[in-house]
Amino acid sequence: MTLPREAWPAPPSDRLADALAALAGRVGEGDIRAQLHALSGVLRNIGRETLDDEARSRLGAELADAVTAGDEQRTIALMRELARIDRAAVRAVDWSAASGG
Amino acid sequence: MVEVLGRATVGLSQETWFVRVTTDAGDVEAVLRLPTPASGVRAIVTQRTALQAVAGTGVPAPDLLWFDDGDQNPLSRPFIVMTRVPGTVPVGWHELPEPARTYLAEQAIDALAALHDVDPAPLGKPVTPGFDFERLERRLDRVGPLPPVVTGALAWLSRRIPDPPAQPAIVHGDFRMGNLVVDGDRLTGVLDWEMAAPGDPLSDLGWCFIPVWEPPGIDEQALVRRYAERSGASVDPERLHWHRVLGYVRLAYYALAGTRAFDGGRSDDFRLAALRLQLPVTLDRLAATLAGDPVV
Repeated sequence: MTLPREAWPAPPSDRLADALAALAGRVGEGDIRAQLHALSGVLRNIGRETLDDEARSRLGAELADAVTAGDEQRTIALMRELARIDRAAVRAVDWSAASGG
Repeated sequence: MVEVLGRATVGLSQETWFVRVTTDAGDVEAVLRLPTPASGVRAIVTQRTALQAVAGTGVPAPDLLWFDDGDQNPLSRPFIVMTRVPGTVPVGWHELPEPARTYLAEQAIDALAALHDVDPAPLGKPVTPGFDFERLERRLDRVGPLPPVVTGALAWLSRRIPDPPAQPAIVHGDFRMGNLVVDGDRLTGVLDWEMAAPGDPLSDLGWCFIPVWEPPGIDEQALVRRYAERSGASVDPERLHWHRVLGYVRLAYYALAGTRAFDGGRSDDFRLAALRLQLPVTLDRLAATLAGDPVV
């Protein structure tokens, strides 16, 4: 029989995020509501990133070389590529809109 | 008599309270602002100076009712009390339906042109684009290792620092939707003057439509033309582009600084913790802007 690796199963981060967002919706004070929505967004992203570290390291090194060489066209092309990869890995949260400002 | 009605939705720097001031002439709904350790005392003094400079000029801003630059008062800190502007602060341009969005954006541009027509002398010595750049670079140095995209943008900016503007103006410093009060389809006030300083007016124009959250969904080129018409100044597209790129780097700095303040235990505000999620979005928009691609 294979036992789970943990003594207790951690709740899925998405469930924590959903529950926290629901709780935030019941909070009257804007400051606290915004902070809870922000925390919900952070929880939603924990453990989600599936970045290709090797590709990112390569792009980062090439970008540094292009900056040093003053090759602007290549610098911008590499910035574009690297930024696109990083953005795709994140689910951004607009805590300001979620909390009503 | 001053009666405290409650604390406003808290920004990330100063304390803001809604108050009612009772005078012989009647009650006035007002706003009290106080410095915090994060904002420093200077933020209050700068706001006071800026509000005095724009009073009566046609720039929609709160009226300054009462202030003290020192700490010999019951609050033991400098403070300002200003009129409460009617309306609400939308989160972003994208939130507003058309045609109100365009109509309000035009009013914002008109307000900006009016602001840039006010004599900047009371606010001190003009800040040059070069100083703006170097200050941001120093701040970035302090937050630690930088994302390579920021390093690439700094290299691009450093090669093109514009000359000081021929005509310095009062630069609001954070002129964007989050600091504009809207009442129906009317722009009723510009808030948060703590970063105001004399400088290059195009830095405000470059900053005002940079999305913190969603892209604004407005015709920026038409608004830049409107600004040129209203201000009577020619808008150099390359200079504006430089300021826009600098604006994205500034936004990236805020995300980095906020993230590191939370991680380092200097703040327990979860909004700062969540700024890390905004960083990749900002960097992607920065790279798109440099490449001349649409910002999404």
